[in-house]
Amino acid sequence: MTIEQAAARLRTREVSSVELVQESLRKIRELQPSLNAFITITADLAFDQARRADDELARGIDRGPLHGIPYSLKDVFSTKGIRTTCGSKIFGEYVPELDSAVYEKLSEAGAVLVGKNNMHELAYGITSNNPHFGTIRNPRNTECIPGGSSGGSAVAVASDQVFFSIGTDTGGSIRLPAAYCGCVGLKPTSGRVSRYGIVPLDFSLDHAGPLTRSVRDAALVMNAIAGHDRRDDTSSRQPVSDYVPGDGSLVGRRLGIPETFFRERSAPVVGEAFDLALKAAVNRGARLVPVKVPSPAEINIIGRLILLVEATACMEPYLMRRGDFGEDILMLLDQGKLIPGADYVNAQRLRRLYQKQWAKVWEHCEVVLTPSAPIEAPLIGQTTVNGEDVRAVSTQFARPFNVLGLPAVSVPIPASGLPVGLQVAGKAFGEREVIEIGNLIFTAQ
Amino acid sequence: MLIDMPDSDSAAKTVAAVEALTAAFRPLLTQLSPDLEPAVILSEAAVSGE
Repeated sequence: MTIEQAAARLRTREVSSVELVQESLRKIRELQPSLNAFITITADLAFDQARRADDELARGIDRGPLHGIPYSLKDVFSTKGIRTTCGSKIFGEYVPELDSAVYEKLSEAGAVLVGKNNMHELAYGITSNNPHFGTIRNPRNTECIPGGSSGGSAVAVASDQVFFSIGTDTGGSIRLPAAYCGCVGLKPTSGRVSRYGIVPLDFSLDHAGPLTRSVRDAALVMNAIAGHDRRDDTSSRQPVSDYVPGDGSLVGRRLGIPETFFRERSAPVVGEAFDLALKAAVNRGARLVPVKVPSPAEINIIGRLILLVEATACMEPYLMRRGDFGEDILMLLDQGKLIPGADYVNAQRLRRLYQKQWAKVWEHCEVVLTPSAPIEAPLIGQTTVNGEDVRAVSTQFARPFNVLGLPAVSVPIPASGLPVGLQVAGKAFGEREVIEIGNLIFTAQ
Repeated sequence: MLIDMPDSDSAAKTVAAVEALTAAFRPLLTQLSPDLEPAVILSEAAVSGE
């Protein structure tokens, strides 16, 4: 069931918010031992919020489509009085005294928080194999990783534990788990969703966004969480659209297909699924436009370098507690100390160059389509793919859009094996186009 | 000492990873021009001290 369907049933009194919470908690209890998608379950809070939602609806107070809908937050979003661990030992006992902007907005929208999701430690990785809170497993194949770092969020959505979750994405951490688990994941434009109250991994690459079971649901959540927030210096004052797509069509829509990098680096099973999705779009009238995109390989290098430095800067106060970090995190934090300062500054300058170059891509097409990841979900414990680091391989199609700050959504497409995602990326603040075309591709399958 | 690692194997791996990344990065520097500023900007809010 999607948010839209549940919202309709809430308004016809076929179901109550309390009943939705009961079902959500039943599903969490059933799946937690095998999938491990949650760190904290907020049952008492959820029932309080659900009773209030039901009471308000009975009195004619309707806060909109998320009113009474159970959801979860990745455990990096501060929640006043509720432990916010970041999947780490470092923040294992951290109980914030403030709410994140996203949680505030969702509470105002009447959504019901049932818990906080397990994740890759400190949001700094893609396996979600967490040494402190346990391994998260992919619901489509429990021998495989769910992707990360928002692994628990994707698992909770894909296995019907919640209607939606909010994740963060620094190098693909929303889109990658969405692709590996078979749900929708949207990374908005930089500055579109406030980062206030999110424990940061990286100052200039972090984004917050929804994971859902449909593209329309992602739009509903975006309507609730997007907008300016003066408490976040990077928050944009650009007006917020209504992101819910209308009854558009793909006829004549110019879909950019990068001539290099993405297709050639895709595993056969991913490439075949991508080609079939493009064929379905063409059958619906879309025009595929081959486009030259400024070098994703180089943008990946720039993004990895910036992340190493900024993540180490974020964790600076805790670096002496070496034994409290997982082995993979510690190695990355150590690497961040060794990057020369001039390289970091020049990486930021090069970032600006590529942003300028990418702005010209949109003269030729409305959006760019790529696979969300070049491979299906790797096995738990797998560290390389054809000799390359599994983290670099998995994130190489998603990371460029963090560096560029552009919006991108991963939508599930039919595949012969494990789930495969198709990524729709667009111009800055082009969430409306990205969502609309993502929805048309999602529903064309 | 920049990093305090318990064993030389970890230290060697860390240094090798950084060397590989910076080696891949350095050729990109030829694209820089003097007028190109970092993407990290002073936001309106920051400048006004909010």
